[in-house]
This record gives sequence, C-alpha cells and structure tokens, in this order.
Amino acid sequence: MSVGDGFVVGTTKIVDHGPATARWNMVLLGDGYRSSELTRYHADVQTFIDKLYSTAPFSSLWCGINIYRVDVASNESGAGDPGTCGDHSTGSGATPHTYFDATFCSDGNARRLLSCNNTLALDTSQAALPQVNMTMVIVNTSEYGGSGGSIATFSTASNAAEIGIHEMGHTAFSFADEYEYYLGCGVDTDRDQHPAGEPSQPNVTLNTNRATIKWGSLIAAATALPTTSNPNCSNCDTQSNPVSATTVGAFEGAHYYHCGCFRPQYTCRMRALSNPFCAVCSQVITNTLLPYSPPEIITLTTPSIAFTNIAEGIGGTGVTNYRAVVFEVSTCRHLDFRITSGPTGGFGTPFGASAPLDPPKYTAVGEARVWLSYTSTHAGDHASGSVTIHCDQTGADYVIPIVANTVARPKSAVTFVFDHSGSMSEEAGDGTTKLQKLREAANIFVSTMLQGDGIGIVRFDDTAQILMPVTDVGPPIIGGGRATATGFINGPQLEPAGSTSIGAGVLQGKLNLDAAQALGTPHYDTTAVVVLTDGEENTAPFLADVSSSITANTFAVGLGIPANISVPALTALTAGHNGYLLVTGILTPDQSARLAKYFLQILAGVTNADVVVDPTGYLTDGGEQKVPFFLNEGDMGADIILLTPFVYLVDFQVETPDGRRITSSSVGTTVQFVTSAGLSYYRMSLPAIAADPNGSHAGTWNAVLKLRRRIASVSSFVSNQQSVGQAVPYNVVVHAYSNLKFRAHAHQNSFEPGAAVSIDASLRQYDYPLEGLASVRADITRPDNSVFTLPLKESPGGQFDAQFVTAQSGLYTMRVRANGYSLRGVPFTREQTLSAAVYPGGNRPPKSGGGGLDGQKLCSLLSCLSGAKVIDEKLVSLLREHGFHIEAFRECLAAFCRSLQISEATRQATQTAVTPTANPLTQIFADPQVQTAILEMLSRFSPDDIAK
Amino acid sequence: MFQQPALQQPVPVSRRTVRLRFEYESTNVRLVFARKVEMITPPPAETAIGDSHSGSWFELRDGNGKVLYQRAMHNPIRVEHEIFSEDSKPAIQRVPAEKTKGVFEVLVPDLPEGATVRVMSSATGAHEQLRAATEIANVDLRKLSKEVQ
Repeated sequence: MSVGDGFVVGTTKIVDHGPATARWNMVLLGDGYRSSELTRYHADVQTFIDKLYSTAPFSSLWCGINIYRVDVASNESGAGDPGTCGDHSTGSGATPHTYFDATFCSDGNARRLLSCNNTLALDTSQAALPQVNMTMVIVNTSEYGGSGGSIATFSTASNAAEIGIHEMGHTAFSFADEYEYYLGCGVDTDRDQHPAGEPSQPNVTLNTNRATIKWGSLIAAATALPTTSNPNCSNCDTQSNPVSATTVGAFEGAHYYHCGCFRPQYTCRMRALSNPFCAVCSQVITNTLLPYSPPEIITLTTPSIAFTNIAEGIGGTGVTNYRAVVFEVSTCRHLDFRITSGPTGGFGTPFGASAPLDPPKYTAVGEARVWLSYTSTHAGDHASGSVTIHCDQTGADYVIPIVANTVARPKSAVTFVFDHSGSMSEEAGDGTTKLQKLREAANIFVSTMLQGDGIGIVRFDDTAQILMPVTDVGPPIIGGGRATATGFINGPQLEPAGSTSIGAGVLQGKLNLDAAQALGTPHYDTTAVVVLTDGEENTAPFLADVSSSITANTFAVGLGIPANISVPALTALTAGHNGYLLVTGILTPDQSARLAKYFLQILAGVTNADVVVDPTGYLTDGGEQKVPFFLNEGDMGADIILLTPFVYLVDFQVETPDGRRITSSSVGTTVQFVTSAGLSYYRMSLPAIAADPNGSHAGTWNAVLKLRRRIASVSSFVSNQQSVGQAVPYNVVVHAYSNLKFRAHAHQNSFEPGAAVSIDASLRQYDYPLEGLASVRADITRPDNSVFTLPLKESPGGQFDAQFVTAQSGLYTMRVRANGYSLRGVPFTREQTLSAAVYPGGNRPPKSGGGGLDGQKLCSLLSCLSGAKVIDEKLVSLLREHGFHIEAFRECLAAFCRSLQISEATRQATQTAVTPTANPLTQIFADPQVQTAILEMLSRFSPDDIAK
Repeated sequence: MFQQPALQQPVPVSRRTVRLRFEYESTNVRLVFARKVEMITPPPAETAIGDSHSGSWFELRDGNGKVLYQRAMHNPIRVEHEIFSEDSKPAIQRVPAEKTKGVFEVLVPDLPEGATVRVMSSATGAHEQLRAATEIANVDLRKLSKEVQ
C-alpha cells in the first residue's frame, strides 16, 4: 500500500445525469499528480471525457452515465520507469512516490505495461462512490502505456486513452479480444485452430450457423457465412475486406487464433485500437447501459409567451425583444423542435423556425429554445397570436399563445448629492480643483441623460439643502431641466464651505426623490442617488444612521485618495442599495477624464445600459482614427460618446458595419447628435438606418475621429496641460441599451491591507445565462500603478468569479471586461470599472450618532422643548399634580447630554466607534420611524435655529 | 447494419446489488468481501452460458441450483498481460504473466432467493485459457448474510 505517498483531496461529479443509484457510474482516478498538478489532471480528465463522449455508442447512451473525478495528490510526479526491463528496453530509472504506485514494466518483462495498485484503486474509488461500475486510472506521464484487469490504467500520451476504452470493453462489457494472434502474426506457432468450446463472450464465436449464431439478428440475409475464411491457418489472414466496412457477418480469425473462431465485423476496437466498436459490441454496450437510461421527459416550461411592457424605442422607433419557447428535455437522443404553424400576430422568429437538441453532456436536463421576437410600437398598443411547435421524434405538437404590449420608455430620476465642503477647493491632481472636476463630470452627465428622465441636486457640507427639485431634463441641449441643473452645477451654490455630513446629504437626496414621486406625474420607474464627496464624514447624521431609510439605488464617487474618504461607510451604503462606490484616486493629467467616465458609467447603471467599450487615445494630424466597437442583435440602442476638451476641433462620425457613415448632418428620427462642452455624442436606436436594417445593427462599428484643422493652427486653444505635444486627448465611451447584460461587482472582506477582494460578474441575454460563449477578465491597477490581469472563472449560469489579495495600501482599480459571442454568434464586448480600497485603519467602524440619532441635536431639541419658554410655571404645576416632575426630567436630560459630549470626546480621542448608550431616551428614539420624522424636521434647521 | 434500438425498450432491472471482491494467487481464489450496494445490477447475458463453454462467467443460483442471473466476464485471473505499443508491431500482443496475483469483482442482483454465486473460468494458467471452464469460486450467500455489509 502506498497511501503514505499522497492523499485523496476530494471527489467531483463531472458528468451528472442523476443519482448514482440509478446510473452507470464511472470513477476516474489520477496517479502521479502532485497537488500543484491537479489542474493538469482536471484537463486530462476532461480530455478523456471528451474522447469517451465522441466514441459511439456512448454519446447516444450518455444520459445514463455519471462520471466522477477523484482528485488524488501524490507526493511526487509521474510514474515508475525501471532502468531495465525484460524486453531489453531501457527506462529513466525513475521511482517516484505516487499514491497508486503506477509503474511501467510492472511485470518486469514489458516496458509498455503500465499498471498500478489495483486493490488500492478499487478501494479509493468505492470509498468515493460505492455504486461505481468502472474504475479508471489516468497516470501523469506522457510515455505511452496502459493495462487492464479489474480497473483500466492508461497514461496521458496521445492515443493512450484508447487503451482505457479497449480495457473498459473487457472489464465492463465482457468483450473478448478479436485479434487472431498471441505474440504476433508470423511469430505464433500454436495458434492455428481455436480449441472446441464456445467462448462465453458475446463478440466471438465458433458458430457460423445463421440460425444460431450469437449475433444472427444483425446479419443480413445476403451476407455469406462465414463471410471470410482464412486460407492459411498457420498464419494470420491477410485478405482485405470483401464486403463493406459495416457488414456484420462471421470473419475468421479471432480470440488469439488464426482459424476456427469468428468475429462479427472485419474490424473493431476490440481487434485494433482506434477503430469504432463493431455493431455487436455497440449493441452489447447499448443493452448493458439501457437499464441506466432515464425515461425521456419533455417539459414545456413556457406554456405561454408574454412580451410584457416592452418599451418604446429611442426616437420613437420600435425596440425588438426576444423571448424563447423553452423545452426542458431529459433524453439520450437528438431531438428536433420546429415551428409548423405561426407565429401569428406579427411576431417574428429571429433565430429560425427550428431548434435541434443534442443530449446534454454534463447535466441531466437540457433545453431546446425556439425564439420569438416582438418589436414595440406605440405606448398602449397590444398584440396577440400563437405558434405551434412540433417535435419530429415524438410527434408531439405544442401550441403556445403569445401576448405583447408596448409602454412608454421607463423613466429614471437622479438626484446628485454634492459635497461642497471646504476641501472641494483643493487641487484634484491635474491642475484643476476638485470642484472644477465635479462641474465637468456633472455637466457631462446632465448632457447625456435621456429625454424624459429627471434630475435634482442636493448640496451638503455640515448641513444639506435641496438646490434643485427633481425636474424633467427635457430634450437634448435645450431642455429646461438641463439648463437649470447646469446653472446650479456651475453656480455659486456649490462654492466650497463648511464640514462634511454625507448622511445629511443622502437624506436630503432621498427626500428630493420622494417629493418627485409624490407628485405622481411624471412617474419615475427608477430612482437613484449619486453621491460625490472628497472627504470623511465628520458631522451627524452619519451614513450608518440614515442608510436604512434610503430606498433609491445609490451610487457614490469618492474624489481623492481612499484614506481621506469614508470608504467603508459609502461601500456599505451603496452595496446595500443596488449600487457601488468608485474612488478616483489622485486625478493625474492622463486620468483627467476619469471622473467623467465614472459618472457616465453610473448613468449607464441608472438607465440599465451597458458599457460596450471605453478606450482612451490621442488624435493627431495624421488623418482619421477609427475606434472599433461591436454591437449585437440584443442591442436596442446605443450612445457613442466622445469626451475631449476640444470637442469643436474634432470631426466625429460613426461608421456602420456595412461601411456607411453617420455624420452630425445626417441624423434623423433614429439618430440624434448632441454637442456640448467637453462632449459630443450620437444617440441611436437600432437599426440606425431604417432602410438598411441588416447593415446598421449587429456587427463591427467604428467611431471615426479626425481633427478639423491642424493642431498648429489652433494651438492658441490647446493649452499644454490638456494636450500632449501635437496630440489631442480623447475618450470614446459606447453605451448599449441592450438585452445582453453584463454586471460586475467587487466585494472586499476587509478595508485593511491584506484584504481579499472578490470579483463576480454575470452575463445574460434575453434573461438567459450566456454560458460557454464568453470570457471575462479584470485588468487590475494596483496603488503603485502596476497592472495585472486576473481571469475570471466561469461557472454554470453565466457566472464568473475570481479573487485577489491586496498587498499594497491604497486604491485598486478593476476594469472588468467581457468579450465573446451573443446567442446569434455576433461578437460583443462589455466592461465595467470597479474599485477597492485598503488602508491602515480602514476597518474602523463607520461613524454613528449612537442609537441612530444625532445625540447633540436631540439634546438641543429636548432642552428647547422642556425649557421655560415652552413650559411655563402653570404647566409645571399641572404636570407636578399629575406626577411628572419637570425639574427631574431636566436633570436627566442634562446628564444625558453631558454623557454624549464625553462619549464624543472619547471617540475623537481614540478614533473608535461610539457604543450606543443604553439610555432610556435613546431607546425611545431608537424607533426608525421616530428618527426619520425628527431628522426630517431637524434637517430644515441649522444648529443656530435650534439654539434660538 | 446496426440499428439503435428504441430507448423506451423495457428492461427488467434489479436496483439492489451485491458486490463481491475476490483475490487470487496462482489458482487459489478467496472471497475478500460481499457488500450490498443500492445500485442497478448490470443486465444478464442475453444467451445462456453453459459448462461446455470456454472463457469466464459468473452466475447467481437459487437454493435448488437454478440459475437466476448469469453474466460473462473477461479473464478474472490475469494469467497473461495485454501489452499495447505505439512504436512496434503488433500494436497489441499478449505475454504470459510470471505471477498470477490480483483481485477481481463481480456484481450480482440482491435477490431474496439468491443462494450461491459461482465464478467459472477456463483461464487458470498461461496458455490454458481455452479449455472448458471450471469453477474457481463458490460463495454461499446464505452463510454470508450476517457478514454482508
């Protein structure tokens, strides 16, 4: 026993077609793989499974088979390879310590005989799965070899898996060898005539009687018996096959004898490797595995199809949505589903009228999908119809009703919550102030918002005020809401002053959105708060105290370095409200547009759009630059956005997949072109050209950029800070309004260096997971600006994930990118930027006012309410008569307020969290409804107001 | 030409199985364990195998000696090895084994009337695989019932 030479890591069910008690179970073991080589072992297992799946008749019986992989880590790598062997061959002399002791020349005579400890292999496989039918050992050596017996053993050499499958024929299906020699043709002298005694195995016989031969049912009447006879029984028969390769008959020469024993077909995998199994062997395999095959079950999981509330398209053009008629199928055979009638009612069949289904390879149930499409018309329109789908193999017909309706495009309302504390006047890193960066980014956000959406603005320092109630932005450029918002963004109301109470700002943002929704018209389907701050909250109310009252999606941008921002509190706030925190770091000149790009990504998140591509470049006098990007059939519309400080110097066009140019002067109902400060964009519904639907939708598009004039002639406009030599910087951002959705999130288990950051992402098209069609990776920039790429591992359901550990203190920026093919095979890209931040002291709990309420304000309020100006002597007497002593109440209140001051002083001194005081007053006001009501009231007053 | 049979073909199955492991050295065969397993027993041989046959098989009999289940098997006692080679002819050849020592297993249905398991083989030594089969193991399941796990 060599269990001391390694250990069993675990068992994984790779092919899962149901319970082991009801399936034919194969267990794969590995030998000579060290722990560090188990990934290679997994790949070798996959290679073998692919080989077996493609070996007839297993593919047609696959639904009855389970395959388990047992990971066994050996202490050393490879297989034993004795220096000498009885066949006079020489080996390396290696004697690695491996779990199953696999070795070549295991009998001392034949180098290629690679075998291992069969008893230990059987014990290991049955410990992993008592119901095992076949145990196989893959040995980690590229030398060709293998063996049979109670288990099959084979190396990873190319074609060595053939040994495994041949030996499985012996072990699991009781096949005899069909070759006609022992040591070799021309070598044997005692293999002329097979002895009497019919072999027990099903694939060789001494009998050539058509009526009684074992495989008589497979022999055609016209086939001669015997089909071939060996004219020279002292040697192997050398004649070529006189009949077709698939003819079943009785071919002389089998079971180690030249004559007297017959095989069913001219050749077979049991006669020579790499041939198919003969018809007789195939039928035996089939009959053996049939009892393990589950019954065929077809379930229509979509008895009706509803295109519910499909939105009107941008610019009034229709948006095409797809839905699938889905059949969940458990089967071992190929099935064809096809439309035989319909769809009626104007619905389409975007992927054709049929859906073939092969048996699922790794799972018990597969899906056949017949896709239908509906193109939205005008809000309020309805459509209905039906489609009939026929299964060719079962003859069943399925009639599926279809309904659809069109609604107005869902509207979004956004409230900016802007920090205008004193630190916003500081330099951002690229020569401009933080406030200037905020103004640039916010203006771009407002300019890019969709018509019909709402914008509101809140500012905060140590208090918060609503600057602008939520207002419809109106049409591009000239919309009244846009103009008002721009006025506030650029106006004096955001000039820096005061401290930082992010919680007060967020709370006002919520109230601003609530007020807009309370009006009823227009109704906003999505509401979002977008917070921008450059500092750490230092004034109540704190985020931890107001978070539970927020209902809108919440995004935050931290402007600056993580250590100066309330990263944990903002992370908790946004993660709990369907958003995320992005931290800019120091905005160096080459990252000047980072804040604007963050804002645009957040806008995409608010409007449920996807970022297709986001490249940065420089434009020179050298002619046109093309920035390619992919749009696919699931994209309903797109924004192609150009960010550059010199927007009027750039000729910006868009080229369709079939080469047509869309220019600023050729826009129409499906395409809008907008230009404002720092920004130009095309907003288009797809197809972009109604007369050219195929050439202006799915495919490779280009943003085409060219300088209108030579840079030298406009140098007076181009400061050295904003251009690089004779080049103009630009960013092209493409957003898709799409049914192909990519979402990525980052989670960190700590905010201190050493934290593990997990990235997960999902890809779905038409609400179905996009599986096996895409790869996802993250380009991660460390705090020291070094970059590494982290591939995300795909798991079922279109999910991807990966993890890394933060070794440095600071900001980690993760550009998570997906590229692959849509359901229709059209290339696509998606990307999303995430950030993670770690710094010493990062795990300090978020600040809280204790019990969820600003204790100082509470003290002020209650002191005021219980003071002599409110309660005169008459009421004092009345209260005393009823047993309430106001003097005692005032003493309690004073003690409580003193304790709060002490706690706050202690907290500031120790930088630890305030432990909520178990004061009865605190408990009274711990009720969230009471808190919200009081906070709303208090937020309307400044501390001075309360003091008065 | 071989035709794939219909998948819904009814096949009687036993969902309770007894796994028996034997070990052998030379011509001595010894039962190592008999273990009940909740799994489908592989289907029996389609044509009856009799004592005049050569090769190897195993069978489950009732108390009266009636065969309840029978299935062929490849040589359980490895009196020779099958050697595969890519770089020489023939690609497969057989060489006698110098030591005949090893293990084999059989799966039989766990039937109430099952009494004995017989293992038959004509291969007990090199070059002897084609004489008439003889019994190499006989297990009385009734005596083992308390030992069966």
